[in-house]
Amino acid sequence: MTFNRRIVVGILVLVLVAGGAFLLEHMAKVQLSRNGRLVPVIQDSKIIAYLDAGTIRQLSQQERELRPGQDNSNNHSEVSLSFMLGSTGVVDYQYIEVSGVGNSKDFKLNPGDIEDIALSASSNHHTFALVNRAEGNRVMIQKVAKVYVAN
Amino acid sequence: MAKEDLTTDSKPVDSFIFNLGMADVIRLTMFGTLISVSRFVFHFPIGLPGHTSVYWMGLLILGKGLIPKFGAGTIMGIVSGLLAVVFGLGKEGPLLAFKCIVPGALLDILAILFFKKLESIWVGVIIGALISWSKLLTSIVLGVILDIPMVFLVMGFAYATLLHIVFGAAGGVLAAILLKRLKPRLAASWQT
Repeated sequence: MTFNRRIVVGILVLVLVAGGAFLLEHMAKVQLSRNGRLVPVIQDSKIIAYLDAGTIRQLSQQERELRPGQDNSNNHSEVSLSFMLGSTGVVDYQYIEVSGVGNSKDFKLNPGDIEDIALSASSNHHTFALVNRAEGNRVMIQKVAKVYVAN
Repeated sequence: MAKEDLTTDSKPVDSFIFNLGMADVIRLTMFGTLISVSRFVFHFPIGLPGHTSVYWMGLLILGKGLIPKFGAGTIMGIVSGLLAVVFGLGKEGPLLAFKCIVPGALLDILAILFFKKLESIWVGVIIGALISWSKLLTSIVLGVILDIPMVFLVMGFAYATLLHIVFGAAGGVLAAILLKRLKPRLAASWQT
């Protein structure tokens, strides 16, 4: 192969790399959102944040540091829904709708209901659940898929 | 007889490592050190991922262009990687060294594919962009190994790729321009 042809192939590879990166990111978002590994937080029809099990663990650590003596002081993978919403910049809202992967039931939560609700990262390191602390960490949704914030 | 002895004596020095002489290895060590120091000194808080590629990849290509032997890129990568670990740059700990070694090793391979014509602007663009992107890919692999949240790895991957390509290409162009000017001047003394 001549030198000039190699240059052309090299430029094509660069274009493919750049285009492929956009395609790969889009596919990864769709695929991971589908199985609950990447959870979008939606407000005003826009995705304002993405969450995953790792983020929940990090938020849990921050919450324990900022609010010592809370219910989750011994749980290293659980963060309250209110703290999560605050960290994504959600302040005023009418209700929160949390849906799960597959055919699981959706939950509509008013601002007064979310105090005892928490997100708990599962031990398999990939997904997280919606739990009710007031009922002994009863699992409401096994794998959270989407959090919708209604204004 | 005396000539024969000289040849025999000079053999180990001529192939110190990767068929590179001691002098070349010392020069490559200097480039590796420059890469680490430049990353340390010129790390601007501009919030653009991959902006260090301008001088990082530029210096890598410049070093490889001036010492166009196989293994030159890898040696610069190893030296800059070890120094980066010692300086404590990055958050990956000792694994950070791989982020420096991979672009260097890839540079050795790509230089062969482009007939070692690193003074060509287009070759600079292609090689600079590709080795810069290889740095990003290594970061992501390290992120997976270190169990960094998927959100941080997936989100903005395309944007980071684009910026790494642009900054890497810019570094490659700078290196190509410098090589064009430096190579004729250093040809007599550096190239053995």
